[in-house]
Amino acid sequence: MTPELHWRNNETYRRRRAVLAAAVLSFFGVVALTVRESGPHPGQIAMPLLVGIGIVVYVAPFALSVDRGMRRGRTDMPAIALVGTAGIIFLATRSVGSFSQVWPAFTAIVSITLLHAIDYVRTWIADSVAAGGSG
Amino acid sequence: MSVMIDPLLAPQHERSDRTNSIEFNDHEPPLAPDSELDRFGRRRTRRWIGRITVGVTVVLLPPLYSYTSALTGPGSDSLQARTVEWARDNHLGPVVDRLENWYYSRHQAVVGGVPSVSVLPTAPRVDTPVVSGPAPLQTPAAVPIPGEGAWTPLGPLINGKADAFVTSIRPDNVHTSSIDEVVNFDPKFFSFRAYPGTKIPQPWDRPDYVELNRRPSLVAAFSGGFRLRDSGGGMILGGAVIQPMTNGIATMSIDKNGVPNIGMWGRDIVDSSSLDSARQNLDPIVDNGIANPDLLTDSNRKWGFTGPKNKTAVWRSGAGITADGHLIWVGGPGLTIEALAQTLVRAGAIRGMQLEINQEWVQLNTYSTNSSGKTTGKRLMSGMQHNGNRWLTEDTRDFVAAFVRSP
Repeated sequence: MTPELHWRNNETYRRRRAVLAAAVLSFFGVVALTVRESGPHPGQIAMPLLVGIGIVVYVAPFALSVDRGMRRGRTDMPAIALVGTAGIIFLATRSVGSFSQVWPAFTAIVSITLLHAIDYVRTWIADSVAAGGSG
Repeated sequence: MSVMIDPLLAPQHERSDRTNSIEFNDHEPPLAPDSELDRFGRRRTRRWIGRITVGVTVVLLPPLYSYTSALTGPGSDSLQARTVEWARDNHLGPVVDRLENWYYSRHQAVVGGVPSVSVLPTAPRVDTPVVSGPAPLQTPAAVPIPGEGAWTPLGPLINGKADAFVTSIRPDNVHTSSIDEVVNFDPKFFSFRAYPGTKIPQPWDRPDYVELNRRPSLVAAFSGGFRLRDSGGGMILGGAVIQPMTNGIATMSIDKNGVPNIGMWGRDIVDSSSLDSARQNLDPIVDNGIANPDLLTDSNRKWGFTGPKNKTAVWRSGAGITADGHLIWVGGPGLTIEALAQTLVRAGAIRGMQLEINQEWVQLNTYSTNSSGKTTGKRLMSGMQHNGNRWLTEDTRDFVAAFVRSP
């Protein structure tokens, strides 16, 4: 096996594993919200519809963002696990109400922003350490 | 390009560039120094744009969270109503007022014509052809429509006799295709009770919905008034002062026996010790049996911000009290503040107040409980925005419920 092939396969494996983890974690978040919202209350949205909307507005964008981040080397599994788990906790603790489909969209925005923010902070720390070391 | 360094050991944010370098080295000719500089510049620009985007998003997250929380709160308010309420809660009230006025200037109540069948009342009425109700109301329209102003029973018969009545009537002689509803409750047979909404500050001694044990005798419920902070007055609930009362402001009080009164705080209603609740909302619109003369001259300050001098005909509701203590509720489309007051006067009110403005908030539901104990509600008019079961679960706005009085 050439070094190039080894690199590409390993990278693809890591990327796919990360995307799968992101998709699973965010899907668990949507399920947690759906369970939370399952009791009867005014403005209740149908459960399958809530899951569907959650997949479209949260699971898919988050997974795509992770895929892009992995391709560019801007994220990794610990960051994904942290953000995805926080998403589950956040969605599982929303109080029941109307328009609950907005929460997955909000969680998607926060999650993607957090992934980027983590990358920038780590880059900044790495650059600072490098600058300090050379000085 | 260095291919000597193991990319897996490189810092995370540098790996992709090196990956690309490896692949380009295999398939593409070496890049010219200028192109490399361009790529470096573009990458740097993209990175800064990314940082700025993330920074802006982080700054916007608190208001976004606030707005999302407002959208997803309990209650049956529409997306539009929640957005407006959120804007008002965040110091954007003047902007909302102007947007509403702009909307009303383009969606004015129809002038002339007759009401369509679709706007006629939907509330369940008892099929009793002859009742000893109040005297029929005189329509302000030049030509009455059949049944206009004639009272019909509303809700269950009590001991075979109707004690709440409803009628349909036009608001004035201009907006004759609009039809409004007037309800007349006799407090000898009905007791009233005010309830909070989620927007009403605590403490409460009752839930923000009609309790299960009270539902079998629940007949009707209607929305209480403007948001408390916009009401110009205060509120007492269960004897506790939720917000201090203001002298001179129109007040709907309910005493501990469930008997309602409407009047000016400090003049008509003075003793708070006997009250279960008191809700203030704006200045009185009817006093001593006549419409407040200020209604024609007020510059959108005392009764809301609806067009020049409140002359824009919109959905409104109001309540009044008759000389013999009957509670009158008026609501529907095409009402100027003057038309609302005149309709209350026409229905016999000696004192009256405006409750709500806008189709989103004007509501009166009637309820019935079947033999298995399930209570269901119905909107009095099909144009009312919330569902008929509103107030059987928690809601944002406070409301008043009418119950069949226990013997």
